[in-house]
Amino acid sequence: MLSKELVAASTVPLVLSVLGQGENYGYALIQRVRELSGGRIEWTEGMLYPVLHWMEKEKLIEAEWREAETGRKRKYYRLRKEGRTALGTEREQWLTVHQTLTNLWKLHPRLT
Amino acid sequence: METPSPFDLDQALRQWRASLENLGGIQAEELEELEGHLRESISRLQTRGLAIQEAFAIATRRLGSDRQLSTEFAKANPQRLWTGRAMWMAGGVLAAFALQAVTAPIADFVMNCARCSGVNEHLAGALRLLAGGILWTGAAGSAFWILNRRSPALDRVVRACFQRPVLTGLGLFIGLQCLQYGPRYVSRFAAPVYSFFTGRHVVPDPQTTGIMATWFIWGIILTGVLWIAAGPLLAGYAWRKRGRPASETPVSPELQPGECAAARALQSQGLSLDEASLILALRRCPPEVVAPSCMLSTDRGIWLERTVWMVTGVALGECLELLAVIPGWVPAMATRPVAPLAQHLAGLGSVCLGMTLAGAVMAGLCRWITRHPGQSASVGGCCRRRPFLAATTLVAICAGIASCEFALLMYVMKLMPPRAHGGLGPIASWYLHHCGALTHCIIPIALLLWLARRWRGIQANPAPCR
Repeated sequence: MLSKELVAASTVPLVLSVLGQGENYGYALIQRVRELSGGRIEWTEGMLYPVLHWMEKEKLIEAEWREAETGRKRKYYRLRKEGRTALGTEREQWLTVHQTLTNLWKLHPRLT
Repeated sequence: METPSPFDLDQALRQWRASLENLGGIQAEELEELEGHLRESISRLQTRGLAIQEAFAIATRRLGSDRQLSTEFAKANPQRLWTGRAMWMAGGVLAAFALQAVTAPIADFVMNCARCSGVNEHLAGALRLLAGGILWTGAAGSAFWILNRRSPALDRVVRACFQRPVLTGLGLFIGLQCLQYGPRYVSRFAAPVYSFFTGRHVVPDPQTTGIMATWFIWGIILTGVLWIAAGPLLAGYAWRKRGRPASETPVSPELQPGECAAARALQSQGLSLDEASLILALRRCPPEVVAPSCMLSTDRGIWLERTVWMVTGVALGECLELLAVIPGWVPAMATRPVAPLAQHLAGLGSVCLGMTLAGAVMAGLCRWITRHPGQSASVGGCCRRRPFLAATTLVAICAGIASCEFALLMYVMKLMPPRAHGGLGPIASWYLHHCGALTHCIIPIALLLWLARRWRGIQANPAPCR
């Protein structure tokens, strides 16, 4: 299970990455992250929505209400151009951290 | 699994939604989105073999408690949260004004009766304070009790009132004025009744002597101190009453012996151990024994929260009066004009000066809250965690400022000794008297209606469907 701080820090890059694969809505987005992390990234589901709305306000993503197959309205989110740029930056930063840690742990395998 | 009592999902969702609506901070469109999420989550859990109320309990638990949700949504949009809070603050100032208007004449009457019965002046002054305090607490307590009982009806009335702001404003103003002046006349009628039964004559508004004037002044100071201290103390009490902080995860019921296999079966369907033990507890006991982990807010908790903001509003009003409105009168008191025109000018100038100062302090405060939400939240958190320390600090700061003002006034008066007759003059005093009505009645009403309009603008945001 990830620490609370790490979950909070990784929310935006995770959302950007999932939406990078195509538009999606809140519930499916959470399910996708849960599935891909093998259930190890557990969000308090409601907490995702303020983040989504903040990203919408920051113009990283855009939203649209549409009718779902169940007949209820659903809010779909998709990446904007600024979001794609942000995704690129996030990717670079996370890969840097990942690379550094991997190198460190390769040099001193017993520390892990 | 068969349920012991029929579970109405729509009813449960309505209740869940109402609870979130009451806490404020979440818009109608956002609630719609959350409800959609909850419904989808419930139907997905039902396909895994959970009964409908079990699915509801797990889905609401996964979504987060209502307080957690409202806190997080509010963080994303602090303007909305503070508009609601400011409305309750303005409402608190009006409620305190109304309660004071009702109780003060009765306390005065008690004092007059005591004085006419030949009681020591000091004792009569103390009796007035005591009677005022008891009456005030009783009236506020019964108001709280009634509001708790009639919360939905009151919400409906408030909503209807805010649809007609001009009428509501007029009604509030007239109502409050009647409350202020009505009981005074009633207490005058009560005087002959008292005289009839006791054979003693009661003067309705006797001249205040030196001792009584001292008691009046100390009464005003004591009330101010109590209000300023009440804000953090009540916030601390509400914080403790609320119990577990919003960030912690809800506690799960423990597994009973022999339930391990059932728990494992549930876990294999994608539920966590905590969720499995909650389901098993739900199956063991009737649903009303195990409260759903969404922890629906009770009306009592909501009213406690609202009361905290109402008291904070009154405390803020007291601080503002001390910081801005009273210093505004220093020039008029120091110069003590004699000519009628000079008195008009001094009165008007002082009111304008006081209001401008108060407005500047308010604007500065609003700016600080919106620009630095983290700082204001940590100050609020400190008040809630250490209420006694916060109350003492706040009272000490206000007392320090008040003493400085008093010393300044004394110094200015010593420099410029009074001219013809000592006082401010009747016209300037009239302004001073009516400044109270402006700060305690007209401005809060105007503020409340303006905020309500803003609030409606924020809330009325229907979900568009394309």
